[in-house]
Amino acid sequence: MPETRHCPQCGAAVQPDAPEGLCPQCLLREAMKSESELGKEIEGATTGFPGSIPPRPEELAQQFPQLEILELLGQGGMGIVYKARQPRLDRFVALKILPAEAGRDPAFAERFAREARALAKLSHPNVVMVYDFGESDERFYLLMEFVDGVNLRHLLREQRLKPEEALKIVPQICEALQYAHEQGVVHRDIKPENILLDKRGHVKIADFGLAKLLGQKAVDSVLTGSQQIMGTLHYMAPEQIEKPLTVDHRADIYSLGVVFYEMLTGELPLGRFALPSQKVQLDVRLDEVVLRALEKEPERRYQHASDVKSEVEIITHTNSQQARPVAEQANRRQDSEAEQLERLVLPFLPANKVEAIKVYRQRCRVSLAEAKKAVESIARKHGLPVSSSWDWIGIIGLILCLLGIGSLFLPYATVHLRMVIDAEHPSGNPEWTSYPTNSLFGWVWTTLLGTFLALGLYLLGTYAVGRRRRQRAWILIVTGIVVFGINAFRVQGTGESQLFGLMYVTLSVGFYVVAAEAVAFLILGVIALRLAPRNSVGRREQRRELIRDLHVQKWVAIKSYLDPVHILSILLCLLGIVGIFQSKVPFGELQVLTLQSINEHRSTGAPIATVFGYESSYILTIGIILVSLCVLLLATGAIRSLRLWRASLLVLAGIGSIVLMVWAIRSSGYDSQSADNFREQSAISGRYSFFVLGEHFTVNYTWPDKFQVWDKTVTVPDLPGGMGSPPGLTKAVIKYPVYLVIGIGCGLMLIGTLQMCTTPKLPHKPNFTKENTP
Amino acid sequence: MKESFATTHWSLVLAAGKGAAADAQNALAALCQTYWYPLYAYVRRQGHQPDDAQDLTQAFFAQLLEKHYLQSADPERGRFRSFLLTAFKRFLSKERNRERAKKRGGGRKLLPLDFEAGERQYNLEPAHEATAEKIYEQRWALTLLDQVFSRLRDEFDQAGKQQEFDCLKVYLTGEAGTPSYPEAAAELGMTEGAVKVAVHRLRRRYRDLVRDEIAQTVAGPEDVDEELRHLFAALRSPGS
Repeated sequence: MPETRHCPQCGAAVQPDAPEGLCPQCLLREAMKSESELGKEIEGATTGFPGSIPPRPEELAQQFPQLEILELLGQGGMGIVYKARQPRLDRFVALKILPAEAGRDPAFAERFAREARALAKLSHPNVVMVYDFGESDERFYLLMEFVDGVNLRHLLREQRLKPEEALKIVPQICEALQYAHEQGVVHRDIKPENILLDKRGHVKIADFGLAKLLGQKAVDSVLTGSQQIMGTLHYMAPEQIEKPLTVDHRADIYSLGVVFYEMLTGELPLGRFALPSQKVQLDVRLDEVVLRALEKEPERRYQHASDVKSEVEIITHTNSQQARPVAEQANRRQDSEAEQLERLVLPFLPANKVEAIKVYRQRCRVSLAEAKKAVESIARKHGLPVSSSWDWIGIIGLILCLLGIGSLFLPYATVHLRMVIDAEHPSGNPEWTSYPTNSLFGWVWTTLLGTFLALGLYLLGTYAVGRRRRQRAWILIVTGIVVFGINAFRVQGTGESQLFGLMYVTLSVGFYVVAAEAVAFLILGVIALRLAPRNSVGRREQRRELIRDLHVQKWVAIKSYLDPVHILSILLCLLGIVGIFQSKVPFGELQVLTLQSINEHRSTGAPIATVFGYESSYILTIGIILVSLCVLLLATGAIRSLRLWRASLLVLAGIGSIVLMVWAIRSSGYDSQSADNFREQSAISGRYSFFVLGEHFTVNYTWPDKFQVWDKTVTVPDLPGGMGSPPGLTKAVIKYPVYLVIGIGCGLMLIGTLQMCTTPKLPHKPNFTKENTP
Repeated sequence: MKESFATTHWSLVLAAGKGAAADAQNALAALCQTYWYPLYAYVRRQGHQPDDAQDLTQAFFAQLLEKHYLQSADPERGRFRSFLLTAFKRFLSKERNRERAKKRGGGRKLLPLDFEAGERQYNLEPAHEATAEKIYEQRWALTLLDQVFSRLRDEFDQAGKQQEFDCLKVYLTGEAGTPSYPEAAAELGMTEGAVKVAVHRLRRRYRDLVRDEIAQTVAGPEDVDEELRHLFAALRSPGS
């Protein structure tokens, strides 16, 4: 009788026929350990469904009637993947079902939807696409692109990758990472299992963002417990383990470094690891790439995946057989102070030179001028523009502002919008004041310089926006509006004249602001597109990347303004406003005549009422229609570019202008009734000067009988009733739209100024903000 | 493990229901093939002699496979283990009323069961007061474990890692009384880290196989844990 053994673990007697001579109790107890107790081995051998078998394809078919579930592809910590087919689209897809623990968190559904949407936006040849996502039977699932191939782990296990093959794979990974990072997505779990290669050797990266979505549990469970295998921790950047909240895209670059090392040498870079070139026949320059990617501190690593790619491609293309002696290698490992400074400063260039200089000065105690010079030389060395285009805009804006402010102090800098009357005033009518004839000059000067002020403030505001100083931008805008207001209200007169003055000013200013906006951005576009980095020695690839980035980014910023709809609407606006000025617009008593109309009158003797053979009212109407159309288009454009609040502003402007118009009519008293009364009461004669298209006119008139243009020996004979006189019914009809137009002008100006505050962010390399855990 | 519940033997059988699908038949046969010994032990513990026990077991299985006991709505159908025992009990109670001779041979398809080995094993069972049911349960658990280990061993053999399996299987019950990792590493010619990884993998695989084997005998994934607990409890009872 064999002696009874006892289990060392539990002390129970172990029968001779016990399975494998082991204590059955302990065996079963061991089998009962849950998933989390055993620890998640993220190597890909976990069962995604602890304690149960994954559903068979047929079972899943019920949950996904629109798919043909074909087979189980694999299981991992991130879920179970099936190969499926969409019969309607006749394509293969991968169906990933997330682990059940994921769904237990109530906030998960919302995070999942958000993350899945962000992932679905990732469309890149090297990123596994997400087609769809959802929840079925209490399990969350993702429908993804099916990759017919293997993952990098398989390749690493079965055959040692040749360095050339690794060097073909890495750039593709970099492209995928760079793309995703620009979209604001960090992978956080780059490892060979997640890097797929299809049959043509194309790299596809899977499971973007899933690590963040599924939470840190995986990391926690691997860290706790005494027997845990620190397998996949090797791919995690140090900050992912130590300071998870500070993790950003650079963690992916670290993981990339680990994978790169493993691809080259077949081993993980653990502890004091050997340089790749010491283990495999390699270009030694690759050592530095790998080492820099593996820097412990994120600041010392490559800041962008595209940088890694550039370096690798440069090394690949310029195949140097020189092997530098080890000593030299060691020396190069020590970064010079200059290189460190460069790395510090580069992220801020080219957009935020001010910040770059500040950072530089923090590091080295030098004067502002020296720091500026140093930063500029760094920029030049890397092929970046030395001065940002925003600087020019700011300078121009500043000059214009000074000009505009100066205009406020000129003696005749007032806006005149009324006739100069040297005759008696009709009773009951607003009082006219008289001005010297060169008040016209003052008017011109004021309008133009007020416009300069407008432009200047506008550009300064844009500059401030460019510098991300929105508070400053707002202050500038408000100042601008106040200045315009003051300007307008310096119009002498009462009641409706003031209103006219204000509206007139705003209309013209609005016109200028909108035009200035378009011009400013066109200029910006020209500046940006012509900005070509200078030739720098070497790093051709990097420069090309930079150029591409500059163009792409600046174009993206400009594009929203060069949007065809927007352009069309601005053009129509200009057309409409010009059309208004073409006709004889009865602005109260101001009548602006164009040279053409007067000439025409001169030659044909026809009443001045017609312009180009059409009655001015028609031109006016056309102008109004065009302006209204442009407002509509602006609104459409705003909606299309999803600037919904801008669209509502446009609508509000239209409504506001109608209100304004009604109020103007009511307060002006120029309805047909009183107009007729007025007409009957007495005659007014007067003289006013105006300045149109480079010509100075002085008009004598006797209301309502005749016009006389002095200084040009143009005699305007009597006009038939209804033109040049207080409006009859026809005129009343015309006046209302005029006020509408004026109101629209106000609205446009408002929009123009507010729009600059919604200018898209200054184009430069994306500033990856630290990800916040949801 | 590519099998899912739809293909686990018992769920197949259950799903087949009244229809005698070939799959279901084969599945049932496979189950019976694996777990016949607990029944044998049961019936032996009941007091029957080896010959009788042999006859009864065979006859029961034959009848089970032919007469489709499953048609009867049985609340215990959830677990094959309990179903089998209940069916067997019912069979035995009917059996007393019939002539045994009829059941011998008779051209029935018999399962190839190694009763000699079974008898030998039974003799090794500790003689104590454990009831037949208890023995049945215990043997069931042990049969399950045997099954798991044979599969595990096969896997390692196929991978050429017999030595590794032999060396590391002791870690499956825990750390107590096992050689330290450096020792194991020395014996196997692996690094300590690799040993740890291997142990971890072995544990995991073992666990998966246990759950899979249990899954073969239950109807749904939710039953696996319960069955596992039941078997653990069965083994823990004193006198094992």
